[in-house]
Amino acid sequence: MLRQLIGQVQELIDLYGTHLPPPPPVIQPPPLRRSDRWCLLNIEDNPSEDEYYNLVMQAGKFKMLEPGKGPPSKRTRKDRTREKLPGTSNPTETMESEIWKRFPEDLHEAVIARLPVATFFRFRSVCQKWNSLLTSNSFSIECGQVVRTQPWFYTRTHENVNTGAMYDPVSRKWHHPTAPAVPTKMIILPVASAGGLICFLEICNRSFYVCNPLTQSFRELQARSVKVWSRVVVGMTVNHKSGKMGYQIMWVRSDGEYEVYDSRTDKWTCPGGMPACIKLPLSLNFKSQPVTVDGCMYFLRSDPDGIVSYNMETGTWKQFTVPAPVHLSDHALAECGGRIMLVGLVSKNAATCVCIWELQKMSLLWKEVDRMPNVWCLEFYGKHIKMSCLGNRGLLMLSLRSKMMNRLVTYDVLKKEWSKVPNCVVPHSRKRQWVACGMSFYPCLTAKA
Amino acid sequence: MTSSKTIVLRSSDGATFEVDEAVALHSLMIKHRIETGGADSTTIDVPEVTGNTLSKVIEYCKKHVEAPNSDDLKSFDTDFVKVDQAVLCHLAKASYYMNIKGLLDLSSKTIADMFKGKTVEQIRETFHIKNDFTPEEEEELRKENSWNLFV
Repeated sequence: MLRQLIGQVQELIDLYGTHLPPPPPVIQPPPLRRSDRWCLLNIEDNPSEDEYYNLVMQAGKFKMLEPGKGPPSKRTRKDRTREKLPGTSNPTETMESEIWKRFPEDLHEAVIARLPVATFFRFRSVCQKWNSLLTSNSFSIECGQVVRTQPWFYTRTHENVNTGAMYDPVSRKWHHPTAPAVPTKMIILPVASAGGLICFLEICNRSFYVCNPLTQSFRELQARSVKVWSRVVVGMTVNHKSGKMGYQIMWVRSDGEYEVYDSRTDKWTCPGGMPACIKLPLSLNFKSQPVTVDGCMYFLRSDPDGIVSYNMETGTWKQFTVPAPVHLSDHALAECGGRIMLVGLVSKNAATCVCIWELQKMSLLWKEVDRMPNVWCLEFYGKHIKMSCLGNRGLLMLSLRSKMMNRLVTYDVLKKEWSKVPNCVVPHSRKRQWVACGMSFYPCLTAKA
Repeated sequence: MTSSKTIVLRSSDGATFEVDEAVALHSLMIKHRIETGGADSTTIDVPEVTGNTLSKVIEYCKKHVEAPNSDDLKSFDTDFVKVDQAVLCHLAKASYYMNIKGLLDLSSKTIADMFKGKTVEQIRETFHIKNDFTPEEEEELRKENSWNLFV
Protein backbone atom coordinates (compact mmCIF):
# COMPACT_ATOMS: atom_id res chain seq x y z
CA MET A 1 0.00 0.00 0.00
CA LEU A 2 2.80 2.38 0.90
CA ARG A 3 4.68 1.56 -2.30
CA GLN A 4 1.62 2.50 -4.26
CA LEU A 5 1.38 5.81 -2.48
CA ILE A 6 5.08 6.50 -2.76
CA GLY A 7 4.63 6.36 -6.53
CA GLN A 8 2.17 9.23 -6.55
CA VAL A 9 3.39 12.78 -6.62
CA GLN A 10 1.62 15.51 -4.83
CA GLU A 11 1.96 18.73 -6.77
CA LEU A 12 -0.82 21.00 -5.80
CA ILE A 13 -0.27 22.70 -2.51
CA ASP A 14 -3.65 23.76 -1.32
CA LEU A 15 -3.88 25.45 1.99
CA TYR A 16 -7.10 24.53 3.75
CA GLY A 17 -6.56 26.75 6.70
CA THR A 18 -3.68 28.43 8.31
CA HIS A 19 -2.16 27.02 11.46
CA LEU A 20 -2.91 29.09 14.51
CA PRO A 21 0.11 31.27 15.17
CA PRO A 22 1.73 30.76 18.55
CA PRO A 23 0.14 32.97 21.20
CA PRO A 24 1.81 36.35 21.76
CA PRO A 25 4.43 36.41 24.51
CA VAL A 26 3.31 37.62 27.93
CA ILE A 27 3.05 41.39 27.72
CA GLN A 28 2.42 44.18 30.14
CA PRO A 29 -1.35 44.63 30.18
CA PRO A 30 -2.56 48.00 28.98
CA PRO A 31 -4.06 50.36 31.57
CA LEU A 32 -7.57 49.20 32.30
CA ARG A 33 -9.99 51.29 30.34
CA ARG A 34 -13.66 50.86 29.71
CA SER A 35 -13.12 50.52 25.97
CA ASP A 36 -10.66 47.67 26.51
CA ARG A 37 -13.12 45.86 28.66
CA TRP A 38 -15.87 45.93 26.08
CA CYS A 39 -13.45 44.71 23.47
CA LEU A 40 -12.58 41.72 25.64
CA LEU A 41 -16.22 40.89 26.26
CA ASN A 42 -16.67 40.48 22.52
CA ILE A 43 -13.77 38.07 22.39
CA GLU A 44 -15.59 35.88 24.91
CA ASP A 45 -17.56 34.50 21.99
CA ASN A 46 -14.62 32.34 20.99
CA PRO A 47 -13.50 30.69 24.17
CA SER A 48 -11.89 27.78 22.38
CA GLU A 49 -9.25 29.89 20.63
CA ASP A 50 -6.10 29.67 22.73
CA GLU A 51 -4.62 32.91 21.52
CA TYR A 52 -7.72 34.85 22.52
CA TYR A 53 -7.56 33.26 25.91
CA ASN A 54 -4.02 34.47 26.37
CA LEU A 55 -5.06 38.00 25.49
CA VAL A 56 -7.89 37.81 27.98
CA MET A 57 -5.65 36.40 30.68
CA GLN A 58 -3.06 39.08 30.27
CA ALA A 59 -5.26 42.12 29.98
CA GLY A 60 -7.51 41.37 32.89
CA LYS A 61 -9.90 38.83 34.23
CA PHE A 62 -13.02 40.47 32.95
CA LYS A 63 -13.96 37.38 31.03
CA MET A 64 -15.52 35.92 34.11
CA LEU A 65 -17.64 38.94 34.92
CA GLU A 66 -21.22 38.59 33.86
CA PRO A 67 -21.76 41.22 31.20
CA GLY A 68 -24.03 44.01 32.19
CA LYS A 69 -24.28 42.89 35.80
CA GLY A 70 -24.82 45.57 38.41
CA PRO A 71 -24.94 49.34 37.98
CA PRO A 72 -22.07 50.78 35.90
CA SER A 73 -20.78 52.92 38.74
CA LYS A 74 -19.98 49.82 40.81
CA ARG A 75 -17.76 48.46 38.07
CA THR A 76 -15.90 51.70 37.67
CA ARG A 77 -15.11 51.76 41.39
CA LYS A 78 -13.75 48.21 41.19
CA ASP A 79 -11.78 49.30 38.19
CA ARG A 80 -10.19 52.19 40.09
CA THR A 81 -9.37 49.97 43.04
CA ARG A 82 -7.52 47.57 40.75
CA GLU A 83 -5.45 50.30 39.24
CA LYS A 84 -4.48 51.52 42.69
CA LEU A 85 -2.89 48.26 43.82
CA PRO A 86 0.70 49.13 44.70
CA GLY A 87 3.72 47.96 42.84
CA THR A 88 2.33 45.06 40.85
CA SER A 89 2.41 45.33 37.11
CA ASN A 90 -0.39 42.78 36.95
CA PRO A 91 -2.75 43.45 39.87
CA THR A 92 -5.26 40.88 38.77
CA GLU A 93 -2.62 38.14 38.99
CA THR A 94 -2.27 38.84 42.71
CA MET A 95 -5.99 38.73 43.29
CA GLU A 96 -6.24 35.54 41.33
CA SER A 97 -3.50 33.90 43.34
CA GLU A 98 -5.30 34.78 46.59
CA ILE A 99 -8.32 32.86 45.40
CA TRP A 100 -6.61 29.85 43.91
CA LYS A 101 -3.90 29.16 46.43
CA ARG A 102 -6.61 27.83 48.71
CA PHE A 103 -8.03 25.56 46.03
CA PRO A 104 -8.02 22.06 47.51
CA GLU A 105 -5.52 19.64 46.00
CA ASP A 106 -8.25 17.04 45.60
CA LEU A 107 -9.90 19.34 43.09
CA HIS A 108 -6.69 19.80 41.08
CA GLU A 109 -7.29 16.35 39.59
CA ALA A 110 -10.84 17.18 38.54
CA VAL A 111 -9.61 20.29 36.75
CA ILE A 112 -6.52 18.72 35.19
CA ALA A 113 -8.56 15.82 33.80
CA ARG A 114 -10.58 18.38 31.83
CA LEU A 115 -7.64 20.16 30.24
CA PRO A 116 -6.99 19.64 26.55
CA VAL A 117 -4.66 16.68 26.13
CA ALA A 118 -1.79 18.71 24.72
CA THR A 119 -2.00 21.16 27.64
CA PHE A 120 -1.75 18.35 30.14
CA PHE A 121 1.65 17.41 28.77
CA ARG A 122 2.83 20.93 29.25
CA PHE A 123 1.61 21.04 32.85
CA ARG A 124 3.33 17.80 33.81
CA SER A 125 6.39 19.90 34.67
CA VAL A 126 4.54 21.97 37.27
CA CYS A 127 5.49 19.65 40.11
CA GLN A 128 6.14 15.99 40.95
CA LYS A 129 2.56 15.43 42.04
CA TRP A 130 1.06 16.64 38.77
CA ASN A 131 3.58 14.55 36.86
CA SER A 132 2.64 11.43 38.77
CA LEU A 133 -1.03 11.78 37.90
CA LEU A 134 -0.55 9.65 34.81
CA THR A 135 -0.09 6.63 37.03
CA SER A 136 -2.56 7.64 39.72
CA ASN A 137 -5.68 5.53 40.16
CA SER A 138 -7.88 8.38 41.29
CA PHE A 139 -6.83 10.46 38.29
CA SER A 140 -7.60 7.55 36.02
CA ILE A 141 -11.10 7.38 37.46
CA GLU A 142 -11.47 11.14 37.08
CA CYS A 143 -10.41 10.91 33.43
CA GLY A 144 -12.99 8.20 32.93
CA GLN A 145 -15.66 10.66 34.02
CA VAL A 146 -14.77 13.12 31.31
CA VAL A 147 -16.68 12.64 28.10
CA ARG A 148 -14.44 13.36 25.12
CA THR A 149 -16.75 13.69 22.19
CA GLN A 150 -14.27 14.25 19.41
CA PRO A 151 -11.66 11.65 18.53
CA TRP A 152 -8.15 12.42 17.45
CA PHE A 153 -6.59 10.90 14.36
CA TYR A 154 -3.38 8.95 14.49
CA THR A 155 -1.81 8.88 11.05
CA ARG A 156 1.24 7.59 9.31
CA THR A 157 2.68 9.96 6.77
CA HIS A 158 4.70 9.06 3.72
CA GLU A 159 7.53 11.26 5.00
CA ASN A 160 7.50 9.93 8.52
CA VAL A 161 6.71 6.26 8.51
CA ASN A 162 7.78 5.60 12.08
CA THR A 163 6.32 8.41 14.10
CA GLY A 164 3.60 9.86 11.94
CA ALA A 165 1.41 12.75 12.98
CA MET A 166 -1.71 13.21 15.11
CA TYR A 167 -4.59 15.51 14.28
CA ASP A 168 -6.81 17.19 16.88
CA PRO A 169 -10.04 18.27 15.16
CA VAL A 170 -11.13 20.57 17.99
CA SER A 171 -8.05 22.79 17.91
CA ARG A 172 -7.46 21.91 14.22
CA LYS A 173 -3.80 21.28 14.97
CA TRP A 174 -1.38 18.60 13.91
CA HIS A 175 0.94 17.22 16.57
CA HIS A 176 4.21 15.62 15.62
CA PRO A 177 5.68 13.16 18.11
CA THR A 178 9.44 13.00 17.90
CA ALA A 179 9.61 9.45 19.17
CA PRO A 180 7.76 6.43 17.78
CA ALA A 181 4.82 5.19 19.81
CA VAL A 182 6.25 1.68 19.85
CA PRO A 183 10.01 1.11 20.03
CA THR A 184 10.49 -1.21 17.07
CA LYS A 185 12.51 -0.89 13.91
CA MET A 186 9.89 -2.65 11.83
CA ILE A 187 7.23 -0.78 9.97
CA ILE A 188 3.97 -1.04 11.87
CA LEU A 189 0.64 0.33 10.75
CA PRO A 190 -2.40 1.24 12.87
CA VAL A 191 -5.22 -1.21 12.21
CA ALA A 192 -7.71 -0.82 15.07
CA SER A 193 -8.39 1.25 18.15
CA ALA A 194 -10.56 1.32 21.27
CA GLY A 195 -10.48 2.94 24.71
CA GLY A 196 -7.68 5.32 23.87
CA LEU A 197 -5.41 2.51 22.70
CA ILE A 198 -4.27 1.75 19.18
CA CYS A 199 -3.49 -1.71 17.79
CA PHE A 200 -0.63 -1.90 15.28
CA LEU A 201 0.23 -4.71 12.89
CA GLU A 202 3.78 -5.26 11.74
CA ILE A 203 3.89 -5.66 8.00
CA CYS A 204 6.48 -8.42 7.83
CA ASN A 205 6.25 -10.51 10.95
CA ARG A 206 2.60 -10.14 11.51
CA SER A 207 3.15 -9.25 15.16
CA PHE A 208 0.60 -7.14 16.95
CA TYR A 209 1.38 -4.22 19.21
CA VAL A 210 -0.95 -2.18 21.38
CA CYS A 211 -0.06 1.24 22.65
CA ASN A 212 -1.40 4.49 24.01
CA PRO A 213 -0.01 6.98 21.49
CA LEU A 214 0.03 9.73 24.14
CA THR A 215 2.17 7.96 26.72
CA GLN A 216 4.96 5.43 26.80
CA SER A 217 2.59 2.56 27.51
CA PHE A 218 2.85 -0.22 24.93
CA ARG A 219 2.65 -3.99 24.72
CA GLU A 220 3.73 -6.54 22.15
CA LEU A 221 1.03 -9.16 22.01
CA GLN A 222 1.71 -12.87 22.30
CA ALA A 223 2.33 -14.56 18.98
CA ARG A 224 -0.80 -15.82 17.32
CA SER A 225 -1.38 -19.55 17.22
CA VAL A 226 -2.35 -19.44 13.56
CA LYS A 227 0.68 -18.46 11.51
CA VAL A 228 -0.44 -17.39 8.10
CA TRP A 229 0.57 -14.16 6.50
CA SER A 230 -2.41 -13.40 4.32
CA ARG A 231 -4.47 -10.31 4.75
CA VAL A 232 -6.73 -9.93 7.78
CA VAL A 233 -9.27 -7.46 9.07
CA VAL A 234 -8.68 -6.41 12.66
CA GLY A 235 -11.17 -5.08 15.18
CA MET A 236 -10.78 -3.96 18.80
CA THR A 237 -13.10 -3.39 21.74
CA VAL A 238 -12.76 -2.48 25.38
CA ASN A 239 -14.90 -3.93 28.09
CA HIS A 240 -15.27 -4.35 31.79
CA LYS A 241 -15.17 -7.89 33.15
CA SER A 242 -14.97 -9.02 36.76
CA GLY A 243 -14.00 -5.57 37.93
CA LYS A 244 -11.15 -5.17 35.46
CA MET A 245 -10.91 -3.04 32.36
CA GLY A 246 -9.53 -4.88 29.40
CA TYR A 247 -9.46 -4.94 25.64
CA GLN A 248 -10.03 -7.57 23.01
CA ILE A 249 -8.54 -7.71 19.57
CA MET A 250 -9.91 -9.85 16.82
CA TRP A 251 -8.59 -10.72 13.38
CA VAL A 252 -10.62 -12.38 10.67
CA ARG A 253 -9.45 -13.93 7.39
CA SER A 254 -11.23 -14.67 4.15
CA ASP A 255 -11.17 -18.41 4.72
CA GLY A 256 -13.20 -17.95 7.87
CA GLU A 257 -10.32 -18.32 10.30
CA TYR A 258 -10.40 -15.92 13.23
CA GLU A 259 -8.92 -15.43 16.68
CA VAL A 260 -9.62 -13.23 19.65
CA TYR A 261 -7.02 -11.78 22.02
CA ASP A 262 -7.95 -10.80 25.56
CA SER A 263 -5.66 -8.41 27.41
CA ARG A 264 -6.68 -9.85 30.77
CA THR A 265 -5.37 -13.31 29.94
CA ASP A 266 -2.74 -12.08 27.43
CA LYS A 267 -3.69 -14.95 25.14
CA TRP A 268 -5.18 -15.59 21.73
CA THR A 269 -8.08 -18.02 21.57
CA CYS A 270 -10.19 -19.36 18.79
CA PRO A 271 -13.72 -19.46 20.18
CA GLY A 272 -14.97 -21.69 17.36
CA GLY A 273 -15.45 -22.00 13.62
CA MET A 274 -17.69 -20.05 11.31
CA PRO A 275 -21.26 -21.28 11.25
CA ALA A 276 -22.87 -22.43 8.01
CA CYS A 277 -24.90 -19.23 7.70
CA ILE A 278 -21.73 -17.33 6.82
CA LYS A 279 -20.93 -17.83 3.15
CA LEU A 280 -17.32 -18.73 2.50
CA PRO A 281 -14.98 -17.54 1.18
CA LEU A 282 -15.63 -14.48 3.29
CA SER A 283 -14.92 -11.66 0.83
CA LEU A 284 -14.02 -9.11 3.42
CA ASN A 285 -13.59 -5.48 2.54
CA PHE A 286 -10.00 -5.03 3.70
CA LYS A 287 -10.12 -1.28 3.36
CA SER A 288 -12.99 -0.93 5.80
CA GLN A 289 -12.35 -0.90 9.52
CA PRO A 290 -14.99 -2.83 11.46
CA VAL A 291 -17.35 -1.02 13.82
CA THR A 292 -18.55 -2.06 17.25
CA VAL A 293 -22.08 -1.44 18.44
CA ASP A 294 -23.41 -2.86 21.72
CA GLY A 295 -20.71 -5.50 22.02
CA CYS A 296 -21.10 -6.70 18.42
CA MET A 297 -18.40 -6.21 15.83
CA TYR A 298 -19.56 -5.59 12.27
CA PHE A 299 -17.48 -6.32 9.15
CA LEU A 300 -18.22 -5.30 5.59
CA ARG A 301 -18.29 -8.06 3.00
CA SER A 302 -19.22 -8.66 -0.60
CA ASP A 303 -20.49 -11.67 -2.53
CA PRO A 304 -23.09 -11.36 -1.17
CA ASP A 305 -22.94 -7.64 -0.39
CA GLY A 306 -23.63 -6.98 3.23
CA ILE A 307 -22.41 -7.24 6.77
CA VAL A 308 -21.30 -10.01 9.06
CA SER A 309 -21.48 -9.51 12.79
CA TYR A 310 -19.71 -11.19 15.67
CA ASN A 311 -21.03 -10.98 19.20
CA MET A 312 -17.99 -10.59 21.45
CA GLU A 313 -19.90 -11.85 24.45
CA THR A 314 -21.63 -14.93 23.07
CA GLY A 315 -19.23 -15.69 20.22
CA THR A 316 -22.04 -15.95 17.65
CA TRP A 317 -21.76 -14.94 14.01
CA LYS A 318 -24.57 -13.55 11.89
CA GLN A 319 -24.76 -12.55 8.26
CA PHE A 320 -26.92 -9.77 6.83
CA THR A 321 -27.36 -9.30 3.11
CA VAL A 322 -27.56 -5.61 2.31
CA PRO A 323 -27.53 -4.58 -1.36
CA ALA A 324 -24.76 -2.11 -2.13
CA PRO A 325 -25.64 1.31 -3.55
CA VAL A 326 -25.03 1.59 -7.32
CA HIS A 327 -21.78 2.88 -8.80
CA LEU A 328 -20.18 2.50 -5.38
CA SER A 329 -16.45 2.26 -4.74
CA ASP A 330 -13.91 2.76 -1.95
CA HIS A 331 -16.58 2.24 0.64
CA ALA A 332 -16.19 1.67 4.38
CA LEU A 333 -18.31 1.13 7.45
CA ALA A 334 -18.77 3.86 10.02
CA GLU A 335 -20.65 4.28 13.25
CA CYS A 336 -22.27 7.09 15.17
CA GLY A 337 -24.28 6.74 18.36
CA GLY A 338 -25.22 3.15 17.63
CA ARG A 339 -26.17 3.84 14.01
CA ILE A 340 -24.32 1.88 11.36
CA MET A 341 -23.28 4.02 8.42
CA LEU A 342 -21.56 3.57 5.11
CA VAL A 343 -19.29 6.08 3.41
CA GLY A 344 -18.20 5.70 -0.19
CA LEU A 345 -17.60 7.21 -3.59
CA VAL A 346 -20.36 7.28 -6.16
CA SER A 347 -19.05 7.77 -9.68
CA LYS A 348 -21.31 8.28 -12.64
CA ASN A 349 -19.80 9.21 -16.01
CA ALA A 350 -17.13 11.73 -15.09
CA ALA A 351 -18.70 12.99 -11.88
CA THR A 352 -17.69 11.71 -8.46
CA CYS A 353 -19.24 12.43 -5.11
CA VAL A 354 -18.74 11.27 -1.54
CA CYS A 355 -21.97 9.92 -0.07
CA ILE A 356 -23.08 8.82 3.37
CA TRP A 357 -25.69 6.11 3.96
CA GLU A 358 -27.34 4.82 7.08
CA LEU A 359 -28.34 1.21 7.55
CA GLN A 360 -32.08 0.81 7.93
CA LYS A 361 -32.18 -2.06 10.41
CA MET A 362 -35.72 -3.17 9.67
CA SER A 363 -35.45 -3.34 5.90
CA LEU A 364 -31.68 -4.01 5.70
CA LEU A 365 -31.17 -1.33 3.09
CA TRP A 366 -28.68 1.53 2.83
CA LYS A 367 -30.44 4.88 2.81
CA GLU A 368 -28.52 7.92 1.60
CA VAL A 369 -28.51 10.56 4.32
CA ASP A 370 -25.91 13.05 3.13
CA ARG A 371 -23.36 13.82 0.48
CA MET A 372 -20.36 16.09 0.13
CA PRO A 373 -21.22 19.65 -0.96
CA ASN A 374 -21.38 19.93 -4.75
CA VAL A 375 -18.83 22.71 -4.84
CA TRP A 376 -16.21 20.41 -3.40
CA CYS A 377 -17.19 17.47 -5.60
CA LEU A 378 -16.69 19.59 -8.72
CA GLU A 379 -12.99 19.43 -8.02
CA PHE A 380 -13.06 15.71 -8.75
CA TYR A 381 -14.84 16.00 -12.06
CA GLY A 382 -13.18 13.96 -14.76
CA LYS A 383 -10.52 12.64 -12.38
CA HIS A 384 -9.93 9.15 -11.16
CA ILE A 385 -10.32 9.40 -7.40
CA LYS A 386 -9.38 6.92 -4.69
CA MET A 387 -10.72 7.35 -1.19
CA SER A 388 -9.80 5.85 2.15
CA CYS A 389 -11.59 6.29 5.45
CA LEU A 390 -9.13 6.99 8.25
CA GLY A 391 -11.51 7.19 11.17
CA ASN A 392 -14.97 5.77 11.31
CA ARG A 393 -16.51 6.67 14.65
CA GLY A 394 -18.60 9.80 14.96
CA LEU A 395 -16.09 11.93 13.11
CA LEU A 396 -14.85 10.47 9.83
CA MET A 397 -11.59 11.47 8.20
CA LEU A 398 -11.52 10.86 4.47
CA SER A 399 -8.46 10.92 2.28
CA LEU A 400 -9.25 11.69 -1.36
CA ARG A 401 -6.45 11.12 -3.80
CA SER A 402 -5.90 11.49 -7.49
CA LYS A 403 -2.73 11.63 -9.55
CA MET A 404 -2.20 15.27 -8.77
CA MET A 405 -3.76 15.87 -5.42
CA ASN A 406 -4.50 14.64 -1.94
CA ARG A 407 -7.40 16.09 0.04
CA LEU A 408 -8.22 15.44 3.65
CA VAL A 409 -11.68 16.17 4.92
CA THR A 410 -13.59 15.35 8.08
CA TYR A 411 -17.29 14.62 8.32
CA ASP A 412 -19.21 14.95 11.57
CA VAL A 413 -21.99 12.39 11.31
CA LEU A 414 -24.11 13.90 14.06
CA LYS A 415 -23.87 17.51 12.94
CA LYS A 416 -23.67 16.62 9.23
CA GLU A 417 -20.72 18.96 8.85
CA TRP A 418 -17.98 18.69 6.28
CA SER A 419 -14.65 20.37 7.12
CA LYS A 420 -11.36 20.59 5.34
CA VAL A 421 -8.35 19.46 7.31
CA PRO A 422 -5.39 21.85 7.49
CA ASN A 423 -2.22 20.62 5.82
CA CYS A 424 0.03 18.42 7.86
CA VAL A 425 3.25 20.40 8.11
CA VAL A 426 6.13 19.64 10.44
CA PRO A 427 7.15 22.72 12.49
CA HIS A 428 10.00 24.74 10.98
CA SER A 429 9.25 23.28 7.59
CA ARG A 430 7.09 24.33 4.71
CA LYS A 431 6.83 20.92 3.19
CA ARG A 432 3.41 19.41 3.37
CA GLN A 433 3.33 15.84 4.64
CA TRP A 434 1.21 13.29 2.89
CA VAL A 435 -1.03 11.15 5.09
CA ALA A 436 -0.81 7.53 4.01
CA CYS A 437 -3.05 5.77 6.49
CA GLY A 438 -4.53 6.31 9.91
CA MET A 439 -6.97 5.56 12.66
CA SER A 440 -9.21 7.57 14.94
CA PHE A 441 -8.88 7.21 18.68
CA TYR A 442 -10.35 8.92 21.74
CA PRO A 443 -7.34 10.37 23.59
CA CYS A 444 -7.11 8.99 27.10
CA LEU A 445 -4.09 9.90 29.17
CA THR A 446 -4.46 7.01 31.55
CA ALA A 447 -5.22 4.13 29.16
CA LYS A 448 -2.67 1.34 29.62
CA ALA A 449 -1.72 -1.21 27.03
CA MET B 1 -42.99 9.84 42.51
CA THR B 2 -43.27 13.49 43.51
CA SER B 3 -42.96 14.48 47.12
CA SER B 4 -44.04 17.79 48.57
CA LYS B 5 -41.63 17.35 51.40
CA THR B 6 -39.17 20.17 51.88
CA ILE B 7 -35.73 20.18 53.38
CA VAL B 8 -33.98 23.11 55.03
CA LEU B 9 -30.32 23.56 54.21
CA ARG B 10 -28.20 25.65 56.55
CA SER B 11 -24.97 27.23 55.35
CA SER B 12 -21.79 27.91 57.31
CA ASP B 13 -22.89 31.47 58.07
CA GLY B 14 -26.32 30.42 59.33
CA ALA B 15 -28.37 31.23 56.25
CA THR B 16 -31.22 28.81 55.73
CA PHE B 17 -32.80 27.73 52.47
CA GLU B 18 -35.99 25.72 52.14
CA VAL B 19 -35.95 23.46 49.09
CA ASP B 20 -37.99 20.60 47.70
CA GLU B 21 -36.59 17.27 48.77
CA ALA B 22 -36.16 16.24 45.14
CA VAL B 23 -33.92 19.25 44.53
CA ALA B 24 -31.89 18.60 47.68
CA LEU B 25 -31.34 14.98 46.67
CA HIS B 26 -29.44 16.16 43.59
CA SER B 27 -26.56 16.44 46.00
CA LEU B 28 -25.42 12.93 46.79
CA MET B 29 -23.94 14.11 50.06
CA ILE B 30 -27.33 15.38 51.21
CA LYS B 31 -29.00 12.25 49.87
CA HIS B 32 -26.68 10.17 52.03
CA ARG B 33 -27.31 12.34 55.09
CA ILE B 34 -31.08 12.08 54.68
CA GLU B 35 -30.98 8.34 54.16
CA THR B 36 -28.81 7.72 57.19
CA GLY B 37 -30.11 10.58 59.33
CA GLY B 38 -33.30 8.96 60.54
CA ALA B 39 -36.65 10.68 61.11
CA ASP B 40 -35.26 13.98 62.29
CA SER B 41 -33.58 15.05 59.05
CA THR B 42 -35.52 18.06 57.90
CA THR B 43 -32.63 20.46 58.51
CA ILE B 44 -29.27 19.64 57.03
CA ASP B 45 -26.15 21.57 57.91
CA VAL B 46 -23.71 22.32 55.12
CA PRO B 47 -20.83 23.87 57.07
CA GLU B 48 -18.39 23.80 54.14
CA VAL B 49 -20.46 26.20 52.08
CA THR B 50 -21.39 29.84 52.64
CA GLY B 51 -24.88 31.22 52.12
CA ASN B 52 -24.05 33.00 48.86
CA THR B 53 -22.57 29.90 47.28
CA LEU B 54 -25.27 27.62 48.63
CA SER B 55 -27.93 29.81 47.07
CA LYS B 56 -26.25 29.44 43.67
CA VAL B 57 -25.85 25.70 44.12
CA ILE B 58 -29.55 25.40 44.88
CA GLU B 59 -30.33 27.42 41.77
CA TYR B 60 -28.33 24.90 39.72
CA CYS B 61 -29.97 21.89 41.32
CA LYS B 62 -33.44 23.34 40.85
CA LYS B 63 -32.92 23.86 37.15
CA HIS B 64 -31.45 20.42 36.61
CA VAL B 65 -34.07 18.59 38.66
CA GLU B 66 -37.15 20.45 37.50
CA ALA B 67 -36.32 20.75 33.80
CA PRO B 68 -33.63 18.23 32.95
CA ASN B 69 -34.66 17.90 29.32
CA SER B 70 -35.29 21.52 28.52
CA ASP B 71 -33.67 22.94 25.41
CA ASP B 72 -32.13 25.87 27.22
CA LEU B 73 -30.30 23.71 29.75
CA LYS B 74 -27.06 24.05 27.84
CA SER B 75 -27.27 27.83 27.68
CA PHE B 76 -28.29 27.90 31.34
CA ASP B 77 -25.10 26.02 32.20
CA THR B 78 -22.97 28.29 30.04
CA ASP B 79 -24.39 31.43 31.67
CA PHE B 80 -24.27 29.88 35.12
CA VAL B 81 -20.49 29.82 35.15
CA LYS B 82 -20.00 33.33 33.78
CA VAL B 83 -19.10 34.53 37.24
CA ASP B 84 -16.21 36.01 39.23
CA GLN B 85 -13.23 33.76 39.75
CA ALA B 86 -13.92 33.74 43.47
CA VAL B 87 -17.49 32.59 42.96
CA LEU B 88 -16.34 29.96 40.48
CA CYS B 89 -13.78 28.65 42.94
CA HIS B 90 -16.42 28.39 45.67
CA LEU B 91 -18.84 26.67 43.30
CA ALA B 92 -16.26 24.05 42.42
CA LYS B 93 -15.46 23.41 46.06
CA ALA B 94 -19.14 23.25 47.01
CA SER B 95 -19.96 20.84 44.20
CA TYR B 96 -17.10 18.62 45.37
CA TYR B 97 -18.14 18.59 49.03
CA MET B 98 -21.81 18.26 48.23
CA ASN B 99 -21.09 15.61 45.58
CA ILE B 100 -23.01 17.15 42.69
CA LYS B 101 -21.42 15.55 39.65
CA GLY B 102 -22.91 17.80 36.97
CA LEU B 103 -21.86 21.00 38.71
CA LEU B 104 -18.39 19.63 39.48
CA ASP B 105 -18.02 18.71 35.83
CA LEU B 106 -19.19 22.16 34.70
CA SER B 107 -17.10 24.20 37.11
CA SER B 108 -13.95 22.09 36.67
CA LYS B 109 -14.21 22.37 32.90
CA THR B 110 -14.62 26.15 33.18
CA ILE B 111 -11.58 26.43 35.43
CA ALA B 112 -9.57 24.18 33.10
CA ASP B 113 -10.48 26.47 30.20
CA MET B 114 -9.34 29.47 32.22
CA PHE B 115 -5.92 28.06 32.91
CA LYS B 116 -5.10 26.11 29.79
CA GLY B 117 -3.35 29.06 28.20
CA LYS B 118 -1.01 29.69 31.10
CA THR B 119 2.66 28.86 31.29
CA VAL B 120 3.99 26.36 33.78
CA GLU B 121 5.47 29.15 35.89
CA GLN B 122 2.19 31.03 35.99
CA ILE B 123 0.39 27.88 37.16
CA ARG B 124 2.89 27.48 39.98
CA GLU B 125 2.39 31.09 41.05
CA THR B 126 -1.38 30.91 40.91
CA PHE B 127 -1.76 27.74 42.90
CA HIS B 128 1.26 28.39 45.11
CA ILE B 129 2.94 25.19 44.02
CA LYS B 130 6.63 24.71 44.64
CA ASN B 131 8.78 23.41 41.81
CA ASP B 132 10.19 20.23 43.30
CA PHE B 133 12.00 19.05 40.17
CA THR B 134 15.77 19.19 39.79
CA PRO B 135 16.99 20.79 36.55
CA GLU B 136 18.04 17.31 35.35
CA GLU B 137 14.56 15.94 36.03
CA GLU B 138 12.99 18.82 34.16
CA GLU B 139 15.21 18.14 31.19
CA GLU B 140 14.27 14.48 31.30
CA LEU B 141 10.60 15.42 31.28
CA ARG B 142 11.08 17.62 28.28
CA LYS B 143 12.62 14.69 26.42
CA GLU B 144 9.87 12.34 27.53
CA ASN B 145 7.23 14.71 26.29
CA SER B 146 8.09 13.69 22.78
CA TRP B 147 5.75 16.25 21.33
CA ASN B 148 6.16 19.24 19.14
CA LEU B 149 3.56 21.60 20.47
CA PHE B 150 2.57 24.81 18.80
CA VAL B 151 1.53 26.38 22.07
